[in-house]
Amino acid sequence: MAGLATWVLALFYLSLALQVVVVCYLLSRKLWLVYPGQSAYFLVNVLQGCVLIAAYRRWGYFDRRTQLAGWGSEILVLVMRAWAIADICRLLLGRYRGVWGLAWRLLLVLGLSLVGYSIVAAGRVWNQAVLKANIGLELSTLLILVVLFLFARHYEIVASPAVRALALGFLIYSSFTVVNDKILQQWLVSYIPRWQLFSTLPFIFCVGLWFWAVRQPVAKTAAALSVLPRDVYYALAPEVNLRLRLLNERLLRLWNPEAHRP
Amino acid sequence: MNLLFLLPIGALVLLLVGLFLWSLFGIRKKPLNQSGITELEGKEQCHATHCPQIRQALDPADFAYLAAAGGAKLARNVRRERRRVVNDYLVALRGDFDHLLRLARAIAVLSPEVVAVHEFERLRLTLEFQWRCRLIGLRLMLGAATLPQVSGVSDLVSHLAVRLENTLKELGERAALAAELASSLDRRNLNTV
Repeated sequence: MAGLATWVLALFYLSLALQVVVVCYLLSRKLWLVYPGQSAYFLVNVLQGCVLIAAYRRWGYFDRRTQLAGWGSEILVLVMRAWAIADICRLLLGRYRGVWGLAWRLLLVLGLSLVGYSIVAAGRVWNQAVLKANIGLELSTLLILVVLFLFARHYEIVASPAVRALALGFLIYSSFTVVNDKILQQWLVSYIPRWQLFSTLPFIFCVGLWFWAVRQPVAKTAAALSVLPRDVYYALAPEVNLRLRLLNERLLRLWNPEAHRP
Repeated sequence: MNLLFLLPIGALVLLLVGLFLWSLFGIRKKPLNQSGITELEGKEQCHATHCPQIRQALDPADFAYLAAAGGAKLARNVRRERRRVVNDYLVALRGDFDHLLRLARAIAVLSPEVVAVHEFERLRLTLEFQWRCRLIGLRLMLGAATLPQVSGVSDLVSHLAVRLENTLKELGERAALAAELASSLDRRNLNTV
């Protein structure tokens, strides 16, 4: 295949083989019911890999049609990735009905805003736009994961090892992709061989991490949780907030007595 | 090869990764669940009740008497020692406050629905409280804060504890009554719908 070094090709096949193993494992253990987003993401990744191999063989690496196929199929992969990340959110917070109700709305608004901004800010020059949009989308992934886990930390919700590993995988991959794409954006063609290497190697590591994650016992990720009567929250939340507000006013007066003197 | 162009985006990525790792591995407390709530309810709010002793610890009249009877050096030593005690008290008070906040969070976590306005307000107020408490601690260290101010803080914390305990007790009684009613309906084989 013209334009691809042998070792890059070897890594590409290795990554594809690993993903096929993960997809087979998910399907054979019926784990796609637990991880529907992740399963769809791996499956689409495998399909994209097959399409890319076919395109490389037929048109060569630098052909415009190959690049169109590559970046075009990337849109579908990104949609599946969004689903996979939504799955992580659900796995982490889904058990806590009240908090989950608040979190998914917040994350959806944040996600849509970030994605919208990434696309708009990417501009209209094809070569630059795709890369810029990709960097923006990877940063959005990072930000969503950070907000999700800050949310969980605020409510002292401990993630299971499987959820941690899944999230960590996406975080590592997105971080590497942002930096890698930024360098490519700057140096363009001269960086392509190294860009291929630095996008494939972290991905292989992450697929390994995800494989480890989906092999963890399912019961730990989906234990049922009993809830308190609705009244408890509505009775206590305003009470706590009122006291906190009073306390803060008192503290403010204490810190700056002059400002509050009538 | 100049890699300076990577600096802003690299710093942003590092910041986000750092925040992620902090939130992922930072939780050391026991996760909140229903048994956790019972434990939190059972734990006594003891520090706020020591306010009278602490108030006396920095009473200006007390220091005036010490300075007159034992000399300025003794008064200075006692003042330093008592300020340390008050500082510890402030830390303990913050612990009581955190305990109450944990209870409120546990209730939010186990509630079938939460109100965004209440949650964000609590987050904002908590941040404000933490910040101001640190500032008061600093003023105390520099010798600028007085005890009536500190006691004002403790009064609010203890009021909150009492009100929360009463509400929880009331809710517990209501839940027990509902359970009793349900079981008596069951025994009579009645359909409530």
